[in-house]
Order: sequence, then C-alpha cells, then structure tokens
Amino acid sequence: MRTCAESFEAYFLRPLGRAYGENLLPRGLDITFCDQLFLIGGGLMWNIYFAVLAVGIGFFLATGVALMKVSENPWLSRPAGAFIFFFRGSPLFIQFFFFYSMFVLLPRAGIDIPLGFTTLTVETRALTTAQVGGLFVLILNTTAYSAELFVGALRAIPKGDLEAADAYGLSGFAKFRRVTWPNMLRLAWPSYTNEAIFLTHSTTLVFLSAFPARQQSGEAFYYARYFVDQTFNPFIAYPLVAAYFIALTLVIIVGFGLVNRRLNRHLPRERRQRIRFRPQYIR
Amino acid sequence: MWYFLVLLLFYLFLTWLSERGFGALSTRLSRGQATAEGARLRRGAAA
Repeated sequence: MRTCAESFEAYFLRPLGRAYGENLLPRGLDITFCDQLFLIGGGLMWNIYFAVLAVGIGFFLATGVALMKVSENPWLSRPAGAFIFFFRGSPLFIQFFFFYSMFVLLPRAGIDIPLGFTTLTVETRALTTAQVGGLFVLILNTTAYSAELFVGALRAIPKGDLEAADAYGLSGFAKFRRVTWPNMLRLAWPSYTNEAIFLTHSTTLVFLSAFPARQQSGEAFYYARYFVDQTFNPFIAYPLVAAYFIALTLVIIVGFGLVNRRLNRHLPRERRQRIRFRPQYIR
Repeated sequence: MWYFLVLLLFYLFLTWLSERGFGALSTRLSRGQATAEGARLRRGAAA
C-alpha cells in the first residue's frame, strides 16, 4: 500500500501526462483513498484550464456576437442569430461529437491556403486533441450562451441612461464604452455568473463522448469514472468530484461577486442586483 | 452518427419552437417599458 505522500507524488501531476508521475494509473484493489483524492484533484487542473480559457475568450467574442445580433443590419443580425440558435439549440455532448468527427476528417498535415504571393498553412493537427479542439467547442458554446445573455441585457438598458448619453453629446464608440457596455455588463452579470459556473461544470463532458484522453491524462470526472470502473464503488469517487466542484463553484461565485459589486457601485443600495444560484440542469 | 444527427435536429427544432414562444413573450413584455427595447418598439410603431 502507498502512503498518502507517495500517492500525492505519484498521481497529483499525472493528469499532465506520463512524464509527470507513475506510468500506469492505480488498478483494482491497489487503489487507496488518497489515490482517488489526489488523482481527481490533479485532474481538476484541466477543468480549470478549459473553464478559464473558454470563459475568458468567450467573453469578448460574446460581446461582439451580441452587438451583431441587436444591430439593425440583417447581414449582421441574421448570422449572429443563427450561430446562437445552433449552439444553444443542441446539447454540448452532441457538439463535441460532431466537431471531433469533423476535426478527424481534416488532413493531418494542415490545410494550404494559396494567397497568390504566399501560401498560408493552417495547422490542423492540434484540433483532434481535447486541449485544443475541446477548448474550441467550449469557446463557441459559451460564446453563444453569453451572447444571448448580453443581448437580453442590451435590450434592457434603461432608456434614460441612453438619453442622458445623447444629451451629453456622447455617440459611437464613446457612448458604447461609457454607457452601453457598463450597463450591459451590470444587467447581465448575475446570469453571466451562472454561465461561468455552468460552463465549468460542462468541462466534465469534454472526454465523455468524443475527444480521447491521450496517455490517460484527463480531467477530474474522467478519473472519477475510471475509479468507479475499477473499484465498482461510486460512493467515493463521485462525491469527491462533487466536493471539488462545489469548492470551485464557491471560488467563482466569490470572484464574480466582487466584479458585480464593482459594476453596481454607483447605484443606490436598494437597486443593486444580488447574485443568486440558478442552475441549468440540462444543457 | 445518424442517431446523433436525428437527435441534433430534434433538439434544434425544440429550440426553434421555444425561441419563438419566448421571443413573442419578451416582445409583449417589453412594450412600453423604459428600456432600449421598449424605445425601439415605440420607434417602430411610430414609423
């Protein structure tokens, strides 16, 4: 039997790959509680990686898509609406499946795009890995959901604020930067917190349907399923994942709560929006 | 593969249906509100 310190050394960084710990994962009766604790805890770093990058990049894309969707020009609003419709209208599980099937079909050497004076080679090899391809799908997914939240917020901006901006002679980008965007963020922020939480929970789906876990380096839920397969006991691994994710969720709530306080700091106390926990169970 | 494709279309159809319903509801509720959407609807009615 391994001691706890030994399993920490052997498995905590194992999710990075075979070079960072034991070659093989613990098997069968050899599995100790500490193995499960540390391997699942180590796997959490991939959940954090997916969530942070997807939410961080998706935030800016979502702002753009939301602005496209509320624009009066149908050439902008129609594609944005279609994009949002597709990614909100299909389960993330199926999106992973189809995108992985598509990425596998791309030529491994890359795609050459002749531009006349030079040839651009688009690297496609990385897309079949979860760390790039899965992240790509997650970014598109969170972009669609966040964009719709931002659209709702853009429509709900108080008319008085916009008129005040006009009265002060603000227009174009200055008006957007100083009035529209802060108001949009303020109104959307409680729902956007939910989106961030839920996206973090959806990162457990990356390895479930399509993307392979090379060298058995996966995220927390991948290892939890592995342990359940090995020990036939779901009552240790799954509660461990749940506890880790509750902790992660609390961190997100605190962080986003601080931002929310800052976005609402100019309002009188009774008009401030508090963040409430409203999970979406089906996605 | 085909199973997933059918499932995808089914979910898209369901979303399309509910988006229409909620779109109508939100337009109905935005009417006359002192928000950007309310103002837009008012402009549309005037024009």
